[in-house]
Amino acid sequence: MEKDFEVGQSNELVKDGRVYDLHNLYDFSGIHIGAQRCVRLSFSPNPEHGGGLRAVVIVFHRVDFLQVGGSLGATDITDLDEVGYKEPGDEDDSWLLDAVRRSPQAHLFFRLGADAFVRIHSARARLWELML
Amino acid sequence: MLFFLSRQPQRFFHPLWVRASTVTARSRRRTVPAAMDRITVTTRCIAPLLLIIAAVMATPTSASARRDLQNRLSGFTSADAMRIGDETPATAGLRWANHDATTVVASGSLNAPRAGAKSLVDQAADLVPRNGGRHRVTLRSPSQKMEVDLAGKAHGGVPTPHTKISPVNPRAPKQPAYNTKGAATEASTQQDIRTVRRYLERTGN
Repeated sequence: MEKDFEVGQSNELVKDGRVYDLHNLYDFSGIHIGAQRCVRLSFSPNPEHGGGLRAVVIVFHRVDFLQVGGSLGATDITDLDEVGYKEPGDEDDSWLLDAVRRSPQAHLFFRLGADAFVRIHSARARLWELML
Repeated sequence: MLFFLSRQPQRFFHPLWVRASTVTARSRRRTVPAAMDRITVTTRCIAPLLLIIAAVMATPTSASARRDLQNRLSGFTSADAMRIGDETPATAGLRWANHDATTVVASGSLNAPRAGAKSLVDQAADLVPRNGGRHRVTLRSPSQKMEVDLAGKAHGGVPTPHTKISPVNPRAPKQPAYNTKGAATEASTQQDIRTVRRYLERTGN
């Protein structure tokens, strides 16, 4: 997966030296699955703790693996518990790999609240900060 | 002292104590009531014992607090740090944690801030700038991973600062790996914050 960001600690994504603390300062706001293998994950600043921050969208192009699990879509979920990697074929999500130990084929794993998760791999991924 | 009390209680609790006889106190060369003299001696002996018992009962370092601290730091031993071989900033911080734990237990100030001291929330928030603006500090040992969120959203109904401790998964193919799923988030203790502060100090922040 070629992407313009990296997973820092398990609570954050880092792009160009800037840290996006999705766990502490943002709320998960949704997932959009496009018709042409394009998936978007959206995060909005938390009203109490994310003052001054802009919404963040992670866009995955040419997706070749997508798994959505837990109660996502059927429960109110705004928290991201952690983000990390899982190797293809490894279904044990009790533990995640960090950026150092993962292979290039590893899936990105977003663990959300209420045991929901998004597991994804694509040819390209971009993190955008919305200028709204 | 206790041995003497148990073997010869009649010497300390004899009914003659209340008799108003008078004797000459040789050391002071003046006349004092015998009962008063014995009461003074007895008070001097027993009072320290009572003070010690009261202090032990009143101290916040109760058995549960000690157990909590031991649970928190059970994975972060000096032995673990030494097994790593090369001292990383994280292990340096953990070694400080052990040193600190001993100090805290001895002084009996595990969680309760002293009068006039900053709250845990303020102490944790003050550490964010020293952590490069990041809200989380992650410490790892061969047996556990400790993640402290200094500020930000509450999780699992636990406001920040909160701490999540995940045990190592020894069966994972790539080590170290930690079972983070289902690991409970708990309110950070004074010791957690102190550990983070020491870690940041050790790493030059």
